[in-house]
Amino acid sequence: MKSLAFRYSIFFSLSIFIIFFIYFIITLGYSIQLLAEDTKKNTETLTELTLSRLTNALSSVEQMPLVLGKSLEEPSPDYYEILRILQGIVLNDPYIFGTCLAFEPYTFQKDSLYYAIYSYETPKGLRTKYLGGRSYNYFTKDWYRVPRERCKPGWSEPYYDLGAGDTLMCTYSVPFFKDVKGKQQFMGVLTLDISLSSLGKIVSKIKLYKSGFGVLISKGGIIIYAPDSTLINTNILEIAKERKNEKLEEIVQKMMNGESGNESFSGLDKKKSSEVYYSPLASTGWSVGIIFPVEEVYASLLNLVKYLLAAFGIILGVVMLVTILITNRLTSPIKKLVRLTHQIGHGDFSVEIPKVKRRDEIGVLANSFSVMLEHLRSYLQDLERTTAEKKQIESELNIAHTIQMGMLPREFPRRSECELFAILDSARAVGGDLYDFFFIDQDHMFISVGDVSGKGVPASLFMTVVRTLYRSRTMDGQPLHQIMSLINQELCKDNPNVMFVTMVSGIINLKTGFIELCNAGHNPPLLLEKSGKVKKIGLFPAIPLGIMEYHKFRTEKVQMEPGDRMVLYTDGITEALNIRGELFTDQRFRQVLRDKMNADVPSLVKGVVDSIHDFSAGVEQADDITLLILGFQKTGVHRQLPVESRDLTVRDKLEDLPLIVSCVEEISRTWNLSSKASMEVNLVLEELFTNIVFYAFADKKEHKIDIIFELLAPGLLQIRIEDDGRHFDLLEASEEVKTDGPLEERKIGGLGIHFVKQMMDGMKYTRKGGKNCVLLIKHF
Amino acid sequence: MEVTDQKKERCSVIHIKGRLDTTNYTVLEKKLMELIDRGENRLLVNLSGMDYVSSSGLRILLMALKRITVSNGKFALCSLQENIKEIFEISGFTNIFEIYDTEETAVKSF
Repeated sequence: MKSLAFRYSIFFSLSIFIIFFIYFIITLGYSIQLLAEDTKKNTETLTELTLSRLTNALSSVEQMPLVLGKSLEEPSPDYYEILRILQGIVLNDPYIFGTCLAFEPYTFQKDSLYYAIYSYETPKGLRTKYLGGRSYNYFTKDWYRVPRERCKPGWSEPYYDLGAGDTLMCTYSVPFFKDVKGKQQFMGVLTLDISLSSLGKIVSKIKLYKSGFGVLISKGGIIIYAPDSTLINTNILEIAKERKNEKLEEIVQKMMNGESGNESFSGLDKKKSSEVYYSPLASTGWSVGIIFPVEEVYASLLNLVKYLLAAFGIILGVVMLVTILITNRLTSPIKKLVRLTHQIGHGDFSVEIPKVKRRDEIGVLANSFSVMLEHLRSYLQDLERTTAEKKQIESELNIAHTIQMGMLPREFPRRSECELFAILDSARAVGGDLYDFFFIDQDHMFISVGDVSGKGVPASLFMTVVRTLYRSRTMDGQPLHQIMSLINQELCKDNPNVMFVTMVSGIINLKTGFIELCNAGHNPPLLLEKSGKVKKIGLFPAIPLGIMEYHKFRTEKVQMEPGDRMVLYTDGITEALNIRGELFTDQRFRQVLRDKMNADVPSLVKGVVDSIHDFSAGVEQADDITLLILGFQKTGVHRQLPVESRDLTVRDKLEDLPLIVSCVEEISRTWNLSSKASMEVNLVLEELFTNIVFYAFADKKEHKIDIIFELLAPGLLQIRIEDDGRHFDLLEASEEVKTDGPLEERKIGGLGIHFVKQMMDGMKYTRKGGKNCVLLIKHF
Repeated sequence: MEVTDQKKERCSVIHIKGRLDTTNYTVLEKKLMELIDRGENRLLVNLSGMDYVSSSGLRILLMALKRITVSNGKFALCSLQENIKEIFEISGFTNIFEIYDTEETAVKSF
């Protein structure tokens, strides 16, 4: 993360730096200029001051001899008086340390060549001595000679006069004259000596900057004063030439010329860049020079710059720091938010956004963030809840599915008598279908297919109840219709939601192929016969279980032949939809059964289910698809020798009916038929017998009718009625009887066959060898 | 099979005793027709003694019912045996006939 604080502080610092820098440069330039001017002024002032001091010092010297010189030119000067005055001057004037009155040869005294009185100061007092002699020929000395030649006062060059004073000095000589015969005759020279060291003191007062100093040089280039005493009385010009310092030469030359000005040069030893300001002392022709290293001028400036820079550095540092601090203060809430966001991003929603008191944009942001987080939390809670609910629903569906699947018997029976296979293809939202089968006993199997109203767990549980009921009741050995009635009653009780179940149940005798079916409001089972004919088994429109408490249930009896298949299914098959919205329909179902009938039962079942899937490809399955097929294949039951049998032959005359009655009576007794069963057998036989009598024979001959009673197994009665009449399937003879029709619609005839169908557990007509044969099966 | 009739205040009661089948239904037929022709159109048939009936017998009862109904009379049955009840149910006759459990209640209904 590129820190805002850092960035801004850099930005601000840089801006300040640039501004300051520009200002600095400007100010610096200005300062330098000022300073230079200042320096110039200062130096010039100092120079002037020094010069004026020097002038002062010198003028006092210059004036005295002039005044005295005049008195010397009187006709008879009092030389001793003059001398006394001069001595007084010497004593009083700080600069004058010696005075001399020197005469022309033989002038003062006619016999003296030399006459010069020299008085000078010593630490012990004034001393006077007479100058002149072979060792000291003052006539040749500059102090005497020059004024004589020039006839005017002047200063000498500095010199070391060992003879007088023993110090470096300068002499001011004033020639004096006597008027002789109208001509000014040179008489002698009055001198005053100045100790250059005292003069030097004036110059030595020059202090400029740190090491700036003043020098005093004579007209001849001799250094009268310099702070470096070794230079005193040296010829600076010579030195400059020696040192090949051309610039210095130039300057010295100018000074000697009596010019004033200022130059830059590199110093005496060419090391330091220096400035020299020089100005002449008019009276003597000397020149005062003030020299200072340039750097010292700007030293203070440099210091100032250093201070400024330091201050600047500090300010910069402070600015950066302050900026960082301020920006941090600004951004710390943001940083906090960033951190919190990271936490949230990692899934931790328990973070709390600290309340920000600020009212500025940051505060608003933080608070908005807080609000957003709240919303996010509640949204997530909702999401969690919805997801949980959805999961719950799904898990409920899963539970329902598990319950449903748990109820299905896993293994299909392997019995030679039958082939049973079933598939339950459940829809996503468990539709409540069920198939079931189990062995009641060695020879009897219960099969069922059902469909519970509703979906989900309640439907599945309801189905469990139903299953428990019929399983327990069946084991009691009760007949099917009673089982269904009992189940119905149970379900009707405590059924506030009026859940119901449609169901087809059946009990098959695996030895005989005889099956009793009960339909409670369900799709009628289909019998796929060996021949390929598909027959609907369903004469009773029945209502589903769980609706009407005391509804009576009827059963349908079918005798299955080897190769026949009983097909139980739910409406998930017939009502399967395809993309175009067409139903699978009953017709298509039957056709598919016919088409695949040659396969074994498992393949048949799978094949049908596959064709349904193909049909409804692309459409989500709306309901469970259940298909159970039971194929009967036992051969030989019919061939099985009956346990007992009775034969009866009657004529085709109604009067023979009592014979039948008594035979039935007898077998009822012997074979333990219930009175009900007995009555039913009687009734059925009477009906059939009557029909045969009336319809089987076209001629008027007497015919015989054989009735064979066989007890195939305990509780299983088979009756065969055979006649040699014309082909007459008396079972098909009559149309269906509407037993619920109103009085007006009831036809008188047709009831007989209806009884047969209802009361017998199986009936079949065959024609063999010119004989009609009706086979009846009765369980009792 | 025996058929007896008894005239009561409110109706005539016919008792059937024994088997009613294809061999003897005409007896009942005759009796009922007689009564109806006589103008007795409030008939109660007590079947307590009938232990068997086939379609022929039922046909006769049906016929009688139709005729009486047409003449705005009342034809009822009572005291059916268990087995007979079943037969009546199977044939759907229970929906057509007025069937009472006892003769008393049946007679009261007239």
